[in-house]
Amino acid sequence: MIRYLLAGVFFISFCSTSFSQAITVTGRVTDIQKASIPGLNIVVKGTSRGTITDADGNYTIVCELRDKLIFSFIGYKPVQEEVMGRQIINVVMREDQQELGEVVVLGYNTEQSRRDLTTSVSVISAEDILKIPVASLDQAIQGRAAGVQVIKNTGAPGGGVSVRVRGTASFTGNQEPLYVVDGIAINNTFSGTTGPPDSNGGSRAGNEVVNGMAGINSDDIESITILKDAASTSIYGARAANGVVVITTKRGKSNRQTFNFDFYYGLQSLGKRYDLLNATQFASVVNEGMARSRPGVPSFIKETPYNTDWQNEIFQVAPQLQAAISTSGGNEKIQYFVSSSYFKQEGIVINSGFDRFSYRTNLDYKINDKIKVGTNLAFTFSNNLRLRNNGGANVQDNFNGNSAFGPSVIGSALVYSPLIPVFKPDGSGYASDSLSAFQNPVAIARVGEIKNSGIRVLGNIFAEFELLKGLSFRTVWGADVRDENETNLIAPAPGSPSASGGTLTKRSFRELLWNTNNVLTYKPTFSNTKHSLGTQAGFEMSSSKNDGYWTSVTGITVLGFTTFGASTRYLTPYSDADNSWGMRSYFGRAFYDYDKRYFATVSARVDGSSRFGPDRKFAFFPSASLGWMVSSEKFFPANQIVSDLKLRTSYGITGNDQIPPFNWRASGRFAPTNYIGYNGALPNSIQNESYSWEQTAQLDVGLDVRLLDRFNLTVDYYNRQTSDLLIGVPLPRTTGFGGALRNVGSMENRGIEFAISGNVLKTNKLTWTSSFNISFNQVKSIDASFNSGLFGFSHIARPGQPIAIQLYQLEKTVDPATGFRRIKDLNENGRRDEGDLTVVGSPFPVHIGGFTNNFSYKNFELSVFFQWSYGNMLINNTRGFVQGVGKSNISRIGTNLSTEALGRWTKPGDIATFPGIDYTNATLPNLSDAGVPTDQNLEDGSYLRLKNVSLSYNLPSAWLKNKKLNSFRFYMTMNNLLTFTKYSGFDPEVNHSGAFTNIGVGIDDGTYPQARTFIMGVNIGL
Amino acid sequence: MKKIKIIVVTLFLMLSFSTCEVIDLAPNDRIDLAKFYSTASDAESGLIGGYITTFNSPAVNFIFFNNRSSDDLTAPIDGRQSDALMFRPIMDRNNGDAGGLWNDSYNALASLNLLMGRVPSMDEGLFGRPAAGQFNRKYEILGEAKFLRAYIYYNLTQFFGDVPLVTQFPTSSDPAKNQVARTPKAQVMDTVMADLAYADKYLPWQHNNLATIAEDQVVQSKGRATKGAAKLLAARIFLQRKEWQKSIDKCKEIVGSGQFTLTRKWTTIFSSSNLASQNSSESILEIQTKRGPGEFNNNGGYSWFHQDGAPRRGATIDAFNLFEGSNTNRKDVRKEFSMSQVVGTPAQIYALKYANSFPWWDAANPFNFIPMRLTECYLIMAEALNELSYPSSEALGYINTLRSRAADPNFTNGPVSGIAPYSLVTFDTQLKFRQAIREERRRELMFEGHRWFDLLRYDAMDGTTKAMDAVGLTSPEKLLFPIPQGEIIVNSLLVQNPGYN
Repeated sequence: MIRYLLAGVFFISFCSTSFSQAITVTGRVTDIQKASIPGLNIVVKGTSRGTITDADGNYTIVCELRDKLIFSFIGYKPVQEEVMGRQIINVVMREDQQELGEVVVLGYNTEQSRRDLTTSVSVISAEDILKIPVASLDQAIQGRAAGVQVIKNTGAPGGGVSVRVRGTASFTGNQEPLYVVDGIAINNTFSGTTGPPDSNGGSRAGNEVVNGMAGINSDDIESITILKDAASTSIYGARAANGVVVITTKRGKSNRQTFNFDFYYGLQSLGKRYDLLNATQFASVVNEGMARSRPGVPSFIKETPYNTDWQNEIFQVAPQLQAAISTSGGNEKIQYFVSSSYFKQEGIVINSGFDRFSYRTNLDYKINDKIKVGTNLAFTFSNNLRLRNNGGANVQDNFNGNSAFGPSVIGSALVYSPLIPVFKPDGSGYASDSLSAFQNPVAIARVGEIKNSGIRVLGNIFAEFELLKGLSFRTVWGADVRDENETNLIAPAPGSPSASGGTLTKRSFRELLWNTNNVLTYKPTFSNTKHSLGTQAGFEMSSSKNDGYWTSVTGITVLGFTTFGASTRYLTPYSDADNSWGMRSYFGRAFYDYDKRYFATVSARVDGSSRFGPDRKFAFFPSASLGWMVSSEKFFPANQIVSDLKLRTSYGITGNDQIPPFNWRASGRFAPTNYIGYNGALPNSIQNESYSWEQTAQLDVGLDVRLLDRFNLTVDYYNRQTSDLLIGVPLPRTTGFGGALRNVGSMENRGIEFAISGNVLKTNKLTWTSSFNISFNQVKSIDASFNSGLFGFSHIARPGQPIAIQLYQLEKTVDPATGFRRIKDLNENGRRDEGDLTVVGSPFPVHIGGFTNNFSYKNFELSVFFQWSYGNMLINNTRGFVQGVGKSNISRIGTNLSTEALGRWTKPGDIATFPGIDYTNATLPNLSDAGVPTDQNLEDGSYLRLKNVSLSYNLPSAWLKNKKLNSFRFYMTMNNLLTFTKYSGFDPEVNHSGAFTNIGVGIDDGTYPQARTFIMGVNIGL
Repeated sequence: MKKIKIIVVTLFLMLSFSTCEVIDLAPNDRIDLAKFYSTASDAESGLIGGYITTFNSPAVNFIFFNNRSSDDLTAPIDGRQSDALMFRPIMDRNNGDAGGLWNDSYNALASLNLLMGRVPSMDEGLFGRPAAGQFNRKYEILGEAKFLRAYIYYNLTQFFGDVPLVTQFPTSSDPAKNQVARTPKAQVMDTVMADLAYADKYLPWQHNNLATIAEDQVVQSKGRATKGAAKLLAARIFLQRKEWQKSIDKCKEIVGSGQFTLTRKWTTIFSSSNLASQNSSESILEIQTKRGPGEFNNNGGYSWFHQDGAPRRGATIDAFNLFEGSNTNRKDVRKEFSMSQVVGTPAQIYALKYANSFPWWDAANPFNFIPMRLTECYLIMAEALNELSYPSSEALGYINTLRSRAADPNFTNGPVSGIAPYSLVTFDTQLKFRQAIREERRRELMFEGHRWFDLLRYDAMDGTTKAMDAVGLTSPEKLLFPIPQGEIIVNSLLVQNPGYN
């Protein structure tokens, strides 16, 4: 539509002007409900002169007596008024049904009116994004698109986000959707992790990953379209099975100069804390436990004058701010959009944070009527100060003394003795607790450092040629360049066996991802105008060259240095990785409709990829969809309730190529050690000729309804059958190998999505728009038979069954005789075995959704956004830390506990829910819970969250006019204001291992909590 | 405009059919095995991979498991009944030691089979000109690999009985295409003997072809398979098969070659006392370890004997009493080098042959392991000669050579009164002398990974049940290790050994 409009403007501007008899015309433009329409274009017909309406719909224009004024605005039928000497012309605009609803961007430069869609997509507009200041644009999607689940894995600044479109359809492959920014598919996957090698010299997954999307400034986004069903995604072929997120950035518009400045400042704070024992209570607990293990020692711990609240010491109220500036405009030849912004967020845990500087230029240039060229270029510098062991490596490793990343700040703060001060009384440094295996949490946070610095350049150039009437060619060349460096300094642990100084690890990652896509578009015209056809054919090539390595040294005894030279010990073997890949693809698509009543779309794509084995080097992904506008049929009764009713269905095949590259090849590696002066080569894998993409066949049946001429309702049912899932298949060891990744598993996701939005109320002063969405999904494992079915410790995929959590159940009360926790002996055989395991719930929600209400009254705007997740279970290991009493482990002496310990078992006969404190290495009972996953901290993870409330005030236009301003808005916004949940942890939105596993989700392992944020800002438009 | 159209259309066609193949990428971070073994250095690297996988785990475990299963070694303090290798009644089909030995052995075999599949088709010219009197390096490489494969299969058959004989690198990652049945032991041994014959023919006594490379020639020659190692392994097998003359012949070839001599002092064989005594003149095959980052070390193996510098495993009273002399009257050097008695309640006797003064977390133990040394030839010859004819003064001479060295008065720990040479007057029957040879063998090679196989051999010869007794069995059912149960699940052709179903 915008294009038509622009074309109109150009056309008009080329015409000559007639001679003059000036007159000033004013007036107000409203819709049929008498609500004003701001920003509407008014052009004097045949000239380039024009204006736009202000916030109240008023305009003033100078023209001539016999001029004609053209009023136009997206979604409305254009109105032409002859001036005829009138000085006041008020106009009422009528909505244009054909143009109603936004134009939907479908990728490969294809747009379609929402009314004509035969596929299932969700759209998020710039206005929705602007309402919530977010660090990363994937958070802007949360709760706003049906069928799209967004989980912020951790609250850490710059932390990773998991986005799942219509469930989870892989056991091992990456499940993040494909992101396409201005026509270029970018790398949204995580670039790697830092860590010293494990005992085998291999790299160790863990720690927090970098969020690939955090590098994109969300203020630059014009719209986000999420393609969900196979008919819309299969044009992206082997990369589309997880859904496609098509992001369009803002562009300049001719004759529409804008300048925008935005600044906000906010404070973030922790929402909820754990209630822990104070110093006195802690001392009595320890003494009680020691009395049991060493009778005759009456008070092992003496109280100190301190009562340190370690949560207070590590959590802080942290500032967050952003300054953004953008300008756009142009003439009929050239249009530009330029923006720059700086975002800075300190973490609510000390010594963590994220900042980003970003810059963008988007240019369009029309060489002549037939040729257009342009470029989009953005670059970002970011720094991420990360917290060790957050949301990644098991914090519990610390308990076992084998954490490769050193102890966790949050975990240590929960269990560290309140009797210990932060600093030694003599001021000589951080205090430490000789009793505990843990370290001073403040020292961990302050002394060590994990800093990730990244540069990212994302850009493309494009050209569009009109070859013949109806036939055009568009070529796009783009690149996504990333360079990341990470420094990880781990201070030595006092008293650890390798007290040989700190460990310094540095990681480097560099990627050049390039892409070119070239599309021919042909739109024939038919003599029978009821036929409408659009066709496309194209090819695409894409490749990523990347390499990364990390290396580390030990023996950093002089802290504060992050140079390898500070080490006294040799370099440990370094690790590097090449994850390069290349793709070559051909695709075609055709849209057809008859009389805007019957719609059909077909598409097909062939992808060849370096990732695929020679037997299945090329993949074919077809799809088809049909739509029927029932309401356009003669038999459909004219009525006031349903104005549009469209049925649609689609079926198609897509693939997930996010599988480890090169794995089809028989490969070898160099041994980590030399032997007698030679480097040894070892075979690493066996040839797998048929190693290939994971395939999803998806059926979608949907319904689009326009109700009461105000509401758009969309309902979709889908069934995604995924097969050829890569699973590690055990091989006979006589091959020399333990297993191989093979395409053998299958899964199913089925669900229903329901979304409704529209104007609830629209009067002159008050408008109320509302949108609501809810989606249900169930993920079932069909065949994971080559695997034990266990993913992680407690998540199980059983054939034909929903993916579930399987645990031992605990008795409600501890054994009255011994004070030990015990598990329920479900098979009543007197001992703990597999027969006592029970499936206790699902890690995936039954339904998720969002509910947004926007109110505007005079110059005030209020937006209230709720978002929820219902029916998912969480395993709260964080709470387990402060419940883990030393009933079996002497190393737990000196570990603080939750206030639940006040109701502990103290003597035989007590009926208590909390076990007795006992540091002896007592023999465990047969039904002990030690070392197995139990439901002790299995909690209902459902929540309803008032995710965002924003209130803004626009200064009145009269005032603005004097100051020559276009708009001036103050706003106040609050994120995570209220959360209704039964979950006892810091925050129910948590996904400790989200980036690493698709199945083992819903685990809270000392994860960085989400912050509650209050932000005040101002936005000025010139 | 027309020009532009032509340019655009040409560009489009060019690109869409371009030969720039982005989808044929080769990885940089790993070796593409399809293209590997195209140069001599590929072959040398592949061979070293075979050494590393063989020496890192199976070769060391062949030694340890032999010790643990024997009547020489017991668990310290807590008794042997918690160790399934020492006390077989508790051995089950999920035993990790047995499973690990199986897995690690076949892992090493995959490396070796790959090499043996690829090197034969490589051009000799790639390997340069051989040193005087030696074969082209190509054949040496194959010989070294064949020796290692023979070494692994011989040991596997001893521990597991019939094992699948795999001689090809797998070509498919499909479990269904990798089902293999157990090959009769005799057939496996045919391959072993053929491999050893090849190795014996083509391997040099000294690796002169490699003399110019990084490590010195002694390290190359002791750390790799040589003619000596191939002959000694063959002699072991002949001895076991009661092919006495053949085993004597092989040993005589070794002794007669002049390549190896007994060290003057018994105490300078094992490097744990002195790094300078590494690669002594009597060592035939010595696993080379080196301290430092990225160097091959056998820390895991040593820490099995010793942890954090403290002994971990106990010698049996039986083994302790086998040696003459006492704490106050030292007679046999080998006693104090093989075990130490800690007086206390209860008294402890620790196995000592490989000491480790480095803590477990400090990687890179520099002490070599010695799977083969010259004394074994003397003992094999003595045993075989005594079986062929009694009396044999030659056999007696070999035994006394070893005894006189063990009476070395220069024992560093103080004066030793010495042990006396044997005479056939004391051992006046073949049976008595056989017993004496066996005891001498046990004393000399204690904890060096021979005793369990010796017990099995003696039982087979004498119809006794010493092996069963040593591991607490009352029936021979569990003398063999179980086939790992996980293996039987994924390979339906495998049949479990008796006693484990």
